[in-house]
Amino acid sequence: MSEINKEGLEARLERVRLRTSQALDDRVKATLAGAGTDAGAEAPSKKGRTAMFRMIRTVGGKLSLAAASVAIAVGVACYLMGSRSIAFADVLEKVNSVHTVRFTQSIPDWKSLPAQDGQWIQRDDGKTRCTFPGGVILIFDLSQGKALALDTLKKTAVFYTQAGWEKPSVPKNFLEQMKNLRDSSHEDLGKKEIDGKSTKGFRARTQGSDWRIWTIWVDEKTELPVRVEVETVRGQLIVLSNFVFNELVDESLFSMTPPTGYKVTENVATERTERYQPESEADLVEGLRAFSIMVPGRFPSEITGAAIMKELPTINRRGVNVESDRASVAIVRGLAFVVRLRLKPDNDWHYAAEGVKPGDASKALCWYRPDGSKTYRVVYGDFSVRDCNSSDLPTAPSK
Amino acid sequence: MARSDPEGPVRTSPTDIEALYMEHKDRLLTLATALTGHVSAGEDIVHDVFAKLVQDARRLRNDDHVAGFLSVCVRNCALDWCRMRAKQNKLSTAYAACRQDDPGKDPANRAVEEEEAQALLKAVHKLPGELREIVSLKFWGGLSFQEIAELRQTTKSTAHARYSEAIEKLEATVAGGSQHV
Repeated sequence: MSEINKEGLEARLERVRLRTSQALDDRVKATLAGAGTDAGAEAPSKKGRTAMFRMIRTVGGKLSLAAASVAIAVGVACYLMGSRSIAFADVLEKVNSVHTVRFTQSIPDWKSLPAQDGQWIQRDDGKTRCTFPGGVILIFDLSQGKALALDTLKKTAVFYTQAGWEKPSVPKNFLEQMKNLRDSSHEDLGKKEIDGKSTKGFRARTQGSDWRIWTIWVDEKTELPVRVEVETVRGQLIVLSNFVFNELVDESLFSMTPPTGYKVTENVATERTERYQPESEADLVEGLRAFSIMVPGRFPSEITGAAIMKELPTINRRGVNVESDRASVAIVRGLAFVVRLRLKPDNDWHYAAEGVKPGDASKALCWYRPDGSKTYRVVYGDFSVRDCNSSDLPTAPSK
Repeated sequence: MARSDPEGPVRTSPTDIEALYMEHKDRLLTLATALTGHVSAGEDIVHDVFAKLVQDARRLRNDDHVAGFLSVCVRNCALDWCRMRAKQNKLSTAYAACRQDDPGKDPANRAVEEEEAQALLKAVHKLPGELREIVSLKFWGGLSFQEIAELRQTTKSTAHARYSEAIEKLEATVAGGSQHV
């Protein structure tokens, strides 16, 4: 470099300008495209800027690099907000720093039934523990595709492993799903007091997830959720409450080794399902068969969500085990098949199983017309299925 | 950014913030790189600043404020990075990724300018922390001495004196470097 004086050096320093790479440009643009903004308070006055600089300096100086992003967020908030008001972005920022969350998950529609609330603990590494009423504990490791079910009353344990497990691209647990919420499409719901805390509400929608609409009530002091209500794609409402964030959780709670004295009754290894299999008539038949086993001697009064829920106490009395687990899956898949049939009048769905004894080949349980078919399919009490012309159909029960 | 009234509120959408990024990115990358000594760290810092900004962008009404604000965010993030960085790579390696490519420039001139830019950034980075910060904020942060003084909680005259000291040291470094070339 040639020799230069002060002015020349300053001029050269002025000209020094690195250029961002295309990769950085793309990275920033992708980030900006994936996030939204929230119109809100006015920027501070120029006078306020000095205070902002001081605040950023103080806050930033006290934080480590790991917390630098928080310092920036604080700085942005201080600068951009005239008076401090919690924004959804603040909530997402806070949630992103959560490593462990404990909460109660309940389904209000089930409140007329015995308590079904589960006590959940989730970690950001995919480990989850859920304690259900009745002494059943489920421990999941989503990163490994493993689960352990403990029956604390019977002192039994069941292992579940899935061969070829790959971590789902769509978040499967609450914490992950919450962290995947975006600021771009939320609406403010105003303020409300919950459990003695002043909260602010937000509603956000997700895509590609079963948990579709999120209503989140956030403690204005901690900026963390106090109550979360989620509507699933099937219209089910799930309520999460009693949150405790970032508490120290004993590692042993997520241990995949059954406690001393527990008997391992089964190891269930399943193959990874490559793709979702749509429900079929076979699922309907298996669902009816499973129900007749779980609730011996009869069939449900209807195949609707409400009717199945009413039977849960009876099903639960048999305990949660591999048998009931498989039965539950079969019943739910059968229900899903029927829900689809009911949506199309042309399928002409009829159900007549109430009062029919399982195994009775002379009695029809239900019938429907498959898409594009001129004939019907009739399911009988012995779980056989036959084609039938419309003129030969059983008599439908009076409503 | 589209602005109908310099004093009035302006909505800041992701598109606006992208425009803000395009306007300030090179300056901020240079500032972050000068402070950290690493282009890759500078890139991460610039990215993170805009990632946080878009999460909580509100109405901005003065471009000067925004430019200074971005500089302070980058500066704080860079200082935190430096505090945490226990072991830094050699600067020569760090600046190897420095991109000065400009298709419109003669390759020979471009190479000379790139070499000079790297040498100057190296020299700035070798300055004591306070001097390095003041020089960086002055040239690439776009802050006035008054603003630098407020940021560092000192007086304008002190900030100016420290800046002069930094320039003298840089002159000496550059002169020493040229003798070795």
